[in-house]
Amino acid sequence: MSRIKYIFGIVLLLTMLVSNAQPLRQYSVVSLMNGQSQFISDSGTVMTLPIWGYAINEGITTLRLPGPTFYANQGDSVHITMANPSMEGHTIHLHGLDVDEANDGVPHHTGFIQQNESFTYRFKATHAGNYLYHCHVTTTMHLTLGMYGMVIVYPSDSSNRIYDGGPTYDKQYEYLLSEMDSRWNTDYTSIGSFLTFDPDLFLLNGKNRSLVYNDPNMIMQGSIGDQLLMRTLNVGYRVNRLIFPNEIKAQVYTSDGRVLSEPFVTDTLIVYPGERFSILAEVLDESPSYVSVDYLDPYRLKFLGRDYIPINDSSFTYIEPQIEDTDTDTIGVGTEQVNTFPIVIYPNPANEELHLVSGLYDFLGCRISDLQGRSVYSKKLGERQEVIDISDLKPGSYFLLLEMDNGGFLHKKFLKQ
Amino acid sequence: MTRLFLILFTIIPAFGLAQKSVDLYMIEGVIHTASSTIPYFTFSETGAFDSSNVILRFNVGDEVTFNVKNETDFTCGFEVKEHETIDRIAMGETKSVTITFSQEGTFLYQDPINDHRALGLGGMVVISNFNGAEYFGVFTEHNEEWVAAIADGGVYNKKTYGPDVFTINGKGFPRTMADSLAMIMGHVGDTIRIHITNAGQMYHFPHFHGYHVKILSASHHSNYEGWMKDSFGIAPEESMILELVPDKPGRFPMHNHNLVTTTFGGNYPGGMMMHMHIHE
Repeated sequence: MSRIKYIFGIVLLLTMLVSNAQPLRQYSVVSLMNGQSQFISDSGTVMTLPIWGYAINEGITTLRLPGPTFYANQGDSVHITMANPSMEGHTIHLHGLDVDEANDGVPHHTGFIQQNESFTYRFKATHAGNYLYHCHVTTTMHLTLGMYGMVIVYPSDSSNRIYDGGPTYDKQYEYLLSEMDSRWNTDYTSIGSFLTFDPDLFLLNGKNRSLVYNDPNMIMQGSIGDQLLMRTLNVGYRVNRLIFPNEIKAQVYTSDGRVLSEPFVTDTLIVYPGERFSILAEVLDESPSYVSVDYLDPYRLKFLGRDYIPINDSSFTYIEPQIEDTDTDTIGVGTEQVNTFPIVIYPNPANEELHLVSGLYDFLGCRISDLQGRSVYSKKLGERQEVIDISDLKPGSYFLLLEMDNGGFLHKKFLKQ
Repeated sequence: MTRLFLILFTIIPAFGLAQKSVDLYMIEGVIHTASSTIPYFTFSETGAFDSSNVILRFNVGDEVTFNVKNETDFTCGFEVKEHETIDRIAMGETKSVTITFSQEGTFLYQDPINDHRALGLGGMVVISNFNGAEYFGVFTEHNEEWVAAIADGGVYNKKTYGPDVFTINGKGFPRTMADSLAMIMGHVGDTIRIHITNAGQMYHFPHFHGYHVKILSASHHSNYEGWMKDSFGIAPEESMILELVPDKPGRFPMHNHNLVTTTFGGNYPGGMMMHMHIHE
């Protein structure tokens, strides 16, 4: 009896050890500064630019944009060994994975991996979801030159669920959004001030325009009722806006690797820098369509560029976006006149039109008189920015009387050419 | 009846209701980058220029009188978002407004005239009865060209905006590390509140290393409320309240993930970055 108890105890102990063992995912990469990649300019020409980045360490390495994707299941331990043969120091910051300080890849705290050194980053994948990694050395430059990639964490059982116990999907697609300033990549030694960043290439998984659709993996394919998971990650410095077509129903389930308490259906989704979303797209109509991916400036969310994710359309061709600039608030006026109104009229001298801009009050009306005091023009106004037509006035000097909505009046003199 | 008065006089002090008064001076100063000196305006509680707009903290129920003195050489105004506004305060003039704060919240205060907030005139009012540690960050950026034009009567193009410096509480990294209001300190298991306001003209994108935070309130992104996030956007004039419960010790950055803003005068590292220090 005691022997049976002994054997049972050993079996129980082994079972506990096995059940507590965390599967280990191991990756080995190198950081490089000597890659090249092709892009398409706005004029349609193909250009080859230098890129930096990460590649799987397998002897002969080929640098691609973005870097290799690291996959794990929830609960896995992950080891990523990075060797650095390049001439500058680099790190891997595991964005959103909430790793400890030693594995956070921040040089202010733990230094960087110098030339011909290596380091193994270790973490546990605690939540299914979508994550980023990127170099955190002189980050403004190293990241946008190409040193970034994705970390995808599947549920514990690696099933086709978005997260443990979550909804299932039929296919999944990964979309990493970023931008590039071709001037910076052309010669990183002459970048100058980092304030000069002015992206002209808008990238989906490191590709832009027609190069996106040459990769069949980028095109979403599904039949009516299929559930297509879109993993969408923004590693760029600009805002992304996804516009979904009527042919799919887009429902957002997770953000930043965390399950939303209430998934929501939307036709538009903003993805800010660093954010990630899992979107389940149910195919409602098999007709060819596309998701628009816009790149917006963080000031006023001004449109900068667009890419497309085709749906059931293997022959998709790039559609030049026709964006109308509706932003009419163009001229700011300083506060020059102490104790009076900040008003600017321009141009002066003027030919055809006179622009009126008020910083404080709306214009109610205006009257123009010549130097002899004769009224030659009047008009009712109502806004803070107005344009008046002076094309019928004879050349010469005039007085402009402006009536403001606070009851005040203001005189300005101008010259008609 | 006498009993009712007694009850009222007992209850009101217990809730911390109080009449308070704060003097705010609108003052011109400068901030320095490695290559230039940029004119700058802030709200000061003392009358002495500080690159940080004073962070104003009150309790729920407080009745606060703001005495706002305009020490600039142009007409200004004063506004506490979602509350009251003083339309015009002439040069050298002092005007007052009284606000009773009935709910917890974090709000932008600013000079709402023209683009005066771009001069630097934007700060944070925090209404909180929270008992734990609280930290505060006002995100702002400055464009030297705009500031000069707004302050001196010039014309500037509002369609283009290229800030030269990016700050949290008027400071660029590493000076943010010495700001006890912004530098998050705590222990594993603490419940910490972080109040942030965007007083700038651009969207900003805080990213937390090491931890996810819970977004308790977001004035312009109500969809965020209740979400656990490590990266998110905050719109111009927006305020948010975040909750951080650290699960491990360590030193971790919090920075803007538009990485151009982690510069100051174009130099890296700088700008909108600070650090958290969590102990066992």
